[in-house]
Formats: sequence, C-alpha cells, structure tokens
Amino acid sequence: MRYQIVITVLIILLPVYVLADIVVVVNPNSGIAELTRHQIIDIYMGRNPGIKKGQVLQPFDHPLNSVVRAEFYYKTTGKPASVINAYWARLLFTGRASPPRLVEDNKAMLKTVRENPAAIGYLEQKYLNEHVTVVYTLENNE
Amino acid sequence: MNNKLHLHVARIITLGTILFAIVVSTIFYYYSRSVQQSIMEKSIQQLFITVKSTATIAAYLGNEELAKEVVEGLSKNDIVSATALTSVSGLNVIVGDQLSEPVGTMFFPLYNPFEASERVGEIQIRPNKALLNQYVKSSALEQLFILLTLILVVAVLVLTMMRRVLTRPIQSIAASLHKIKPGEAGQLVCPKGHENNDIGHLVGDINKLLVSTRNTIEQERQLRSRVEGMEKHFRLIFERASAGIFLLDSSFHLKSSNLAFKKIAGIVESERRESRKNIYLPELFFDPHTVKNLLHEILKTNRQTACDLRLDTMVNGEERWLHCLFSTVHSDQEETMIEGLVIDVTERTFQMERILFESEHDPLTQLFNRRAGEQLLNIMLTNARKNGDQLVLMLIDLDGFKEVNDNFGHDAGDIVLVEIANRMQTTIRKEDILIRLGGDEFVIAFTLRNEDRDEIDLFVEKLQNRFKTQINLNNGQSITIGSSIGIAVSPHDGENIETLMTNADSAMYQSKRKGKNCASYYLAA
Repeated sequence: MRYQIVITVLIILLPVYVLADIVVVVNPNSGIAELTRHQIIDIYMGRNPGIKKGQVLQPFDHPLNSVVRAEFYYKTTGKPASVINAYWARLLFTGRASPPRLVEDNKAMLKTVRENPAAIGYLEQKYLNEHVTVVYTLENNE
Repeated sequence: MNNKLHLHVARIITLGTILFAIVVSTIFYYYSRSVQQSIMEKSIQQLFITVKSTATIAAYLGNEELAKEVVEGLSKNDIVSATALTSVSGLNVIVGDQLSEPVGTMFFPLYNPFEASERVGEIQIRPNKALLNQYVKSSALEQLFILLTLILVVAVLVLTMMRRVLTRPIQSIAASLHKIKPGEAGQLVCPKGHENNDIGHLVGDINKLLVSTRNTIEQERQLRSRVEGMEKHFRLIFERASAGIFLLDSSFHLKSSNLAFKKIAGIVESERRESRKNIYLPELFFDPHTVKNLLHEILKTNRQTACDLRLDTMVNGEERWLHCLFSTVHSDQEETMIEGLVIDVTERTFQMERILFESEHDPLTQLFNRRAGEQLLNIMLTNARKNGDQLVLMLIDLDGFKEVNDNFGHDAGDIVLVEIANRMQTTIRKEDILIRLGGDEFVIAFTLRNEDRDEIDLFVEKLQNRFKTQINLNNGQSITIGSSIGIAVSPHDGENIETLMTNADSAMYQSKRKGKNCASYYLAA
C-alpha cells in the first residue's frame, strides 16, 4: 500500500523530474532565429506551415507514445497527447492535412533537422549540439 | 313546445364553448409558437455543441472538407434550413438558402482550440421557420380538434342529461297537467327517480295547488247554485207580486219593473222593449210636475214617502189612482236609486171620495148639509171679519111644502126640493154658500163690501123670480111654490153664526107672519 502511493507519486512527478527542458530547433540555413509558441502550435497542428511567405516548414514529431512528445504538446498546447492524436485522427479523413512525420528519438531528430533546411523539430536540451538553431525553449517550470 | 329546453341549453353551451375554444386555441397558438421556437433554438444550440470541436478545427485550419462535413451534417437536421461556416482565414461554406437575410439566424463563434482567446471563425445556423410554423399550426389545430371533440362530447352529454334529468320529466308533468281540467279530480304522478329533488317538490306543490283549486271551485260552485236558487226565488217574488215594483235611476227613468207594475201602469209589452230606457216615471202620472218634485224631495231627504197619485191614463173613462211607496236605495255603485211599490187604489179612492161627499152633502139635493154648512159658514164669517166685510145670511123656508107632500106624495116633494135646490144653485155666485138645513129649510150666505140693502134686495128679487116658474111633477101636474126669507147681516145682527142663524130664523118667521113669500130683515128688539 505504501509502495503503491510512493510509486503513484513518483509517476505523477516523473516528467518534471525526469525530463529536462525541451528546445525547439531548426536548420541554421532556414534563416529563422526565433519563433513564438503560437507559431510553433500552428506549425505543428498543420495550420500555417510557413513563417515567411513561400517558406514551408516541415514539422517532425517524436514517437506517439514517447514521453518527450507528450511533454512537448502539453507544454505548448496545454493538451494531453491523446487529444492531439484524436485531432489528427479526425483530420486524417479529409485528405488535406497530414500530421508531422515521426522520428525515432532525440538523436534522429537532431540528424533530421541538421540535414533538412526546412525541418523543424524538438528535443531534450541535453542532446542539443551546435548544428541546429534553437528557436524556442520549453522550460520545465513553464 | 317548439323551443325545446334541452336543445336551447345545449346550443348555448356549445356556442359558448366553441367561442372559448377559439380564444384558447389562438392564445395557445402564440404561446406554443414561442415555446416551439425556444425549443428549436435550444436544439440548434445542442446541434452546435455536437459539431463544435470539428467545426473549430475546420475553422482553425481553414479546412474546407471538414467544414463541409460539419455544415452538411448540420443541414441534414430538419430543424435547420440553412448553415454556414466561415473562418477568419477566408473559408466560407454554405448549405441551404442564402443567409443574406439574417432574420432568426443564430451565430456561434469558433475559437482557436489551442488559444481560446483567438477567434477563428463562426457558424451560422438558421432555424427552419416553415417547419416551426408547421409544428405550431399542427399542434394548435390538434389542440382545437381536441377541444372541439370535447365540446361535442359535452354538448351531447348535456343534451342527453338535460333531456333525461330535466326536460323529459317536465314534459311529462306538463303533459299530464295539461290533461287535468281545473276543478276536476286528478293528481300528477312524479316521474321515477325524481321523488326527492326539485322536480319532486314541484310535483308535490302542483298537486297541493290542484287540490286547493278543486276545493275552491267546488265551494264556488255550491255557492253559485245557492245564489242562483235564491235569485230565482227573489225574481219569482218580484215578478209575481200583485203589487207593482220598480226601480228608478237618479234621473227617474225606469230601470226595471215587474209584470204587475207594467199592468198597473198600462205599459204595453211590445212598446216597452223599444223604449224601455226612455220611460220617464213622472210622465206616467197625471201631474208629472208634482211627481217630479216629490221624487226630488225623496232623493234629497232619503225619507220613505207614501202617497196617492193619479195616473195619466184613463181606463174606461175613469181615473186611475195608485198608492205609491217610495224609498231610496243605495246600491254598490255610486248612484242612488229609488225603489217604488205601487198598488192600484182606484176603487178605494172613489169610495173614500164618496164617503167624504156623502158626509158633507145632502143625499137628495147634493147641497151641503147642516154640519158641513156650519163649518163653511164659520170659515166665511172669519174671512169676512178679517177683511172688514159683512156676511149676509138668508134663511129660506118653502111655503106650503107640507101640503105638496100631503097632496102629491113624498116623491113629488123630493122633485120639488131638487128643482128648488138647482134653481138656487144657479142663482148664487160660485163663492156663495148654499146649504140645506133639513126639510124645506135652506141657507144662502154671501159676503158684502158695504151694507148695501139694495144689493141684497136685488138678490132676493132675483131669487123669488126663479121661484115663480112652475115645477113639473112626475104625474104631469105642475105647481108653483113660494118661500119665506129671513135675513141677518153680520156684524150688525150677530157676531157669530149661531146668533146670526137665530136672528135670521126670527126674521124668517117675521116673513111668515107677514103673509109668506116675502123677505124680512132682522130687526133687533
């Protein structure tokens, strides 16, 4: 009984303690230095893929059940991943919109952004390197 | 019974309720309209909630497919006549009528699903007015139909119940009441089941009334027959009475009279019919003026009056006399009438007159007798004294009358007396008095203004001249007879009749002594 409570508490607190800050990154060649949270949501929810005229940013997502993905969407949209999944499921049948493409993990995300100038992705801060540009930081206490 | 009661009531109730139903249905129509409208709006709101998230996404993304799906889905509801989804990004999907006319259209704003403050579009939904109207109309008609059905049922029930509970018993009562004739035996029978209600009481009261009416009529009938009997008796008395009975109005016209009166008064039956009302009682009498005055007097004094009156008509040349008894009668009406009772007293009147005449006159000569003569003389003397006149009293004694009696008999004597009396009667004036004292003694009296012996002498001479004429006796012989006269003149020869008579008598003896057939004045000793 006692262990259960402790475990439950730990599970609840897990993302806060386990996860570090998440950074949103783009290819340095994209010419984008900074994005607002609103812009990030619009890009990821398929509303407005471009910031400038004619520019199309291609969002990349972590696996559907990954903790970082849940953290990302929660911190940006304030909604759990299930709602986001349902959102895309609903849009799937219209044929017009498609959800962000998936990458395996943080390392794969880094690689994808580094290689694709139109790509935009997010990863845990600890995997960050100099080959990508941070345009937004989702802090833990946010 | 053209206007049946139950039909009347049912008609009134039906008309009233139909009016009520129309009013209620109209009110219901408007009320129901607003209710239905709010229900519809609420349903539309719920519809919106159903599609809200999809619509939000469609507007957020400007996704036309999704928007179409939403709009078409909404439009499939029959309560929706038109739908539109517009987004800020310029998406505009419309299904149904043009939404240009925004009457009744409901607007639902759509917000960014991730940023609630950002409006990304709106949905417009227009409720189906036609459907609403149809709903409302049909439900109002339904309501009206239900009410009318109810009214019909109520009317039929009222009709039936009125008929059963009220009209039919009343009709049966009325019908049996109609058959009962006033005064005849007969009772109403209370309709079954109504013994203890108002109808039962009504029947009871009517029966009581019938009984009391019957009793009253029976009493009236008995009373009437009694009165009729009495009337018959009275009429018999009136009609068959031997005395004449009549009734006069206040103007003395004959109101009614019995047979006896008509006979007595000589009113002919056929004449009576025509001029019955015009018979004026005073005119039936010889002296209408007196009778009229008499009747006026009776009316004035209210006194019963009896008198003998002479009728105007004569029977066999004889006067007719009625003894009349008049009295006033106050009838129920204002007018005072006079009642009269008459008896034919013609015979009696004549008898009385004869008796009176006989008591005052000498039966042979018809001259006043001594008793009546003395009374007349006294009256004449009183009058003469009052006027300062003189009274001349002559005592006449026939000369040789005893011899006539002895020689020719008493009948001849009577003839002589009658003849002499007639001659003296025709000699004197009307106002003079001629008396037969008895036997062959007569008295003549008259008044004089002055003591004028010449006038007296003249009269004596005239008288004695009449005596000179011969008197025819019944046996063919004739005689003459003289007279000795004694004269006394008041007041010189006496203050009263007795003295004057005595003095005239002595003067008469003076004449006898002188040799008869002459006149002598009394000479005081």
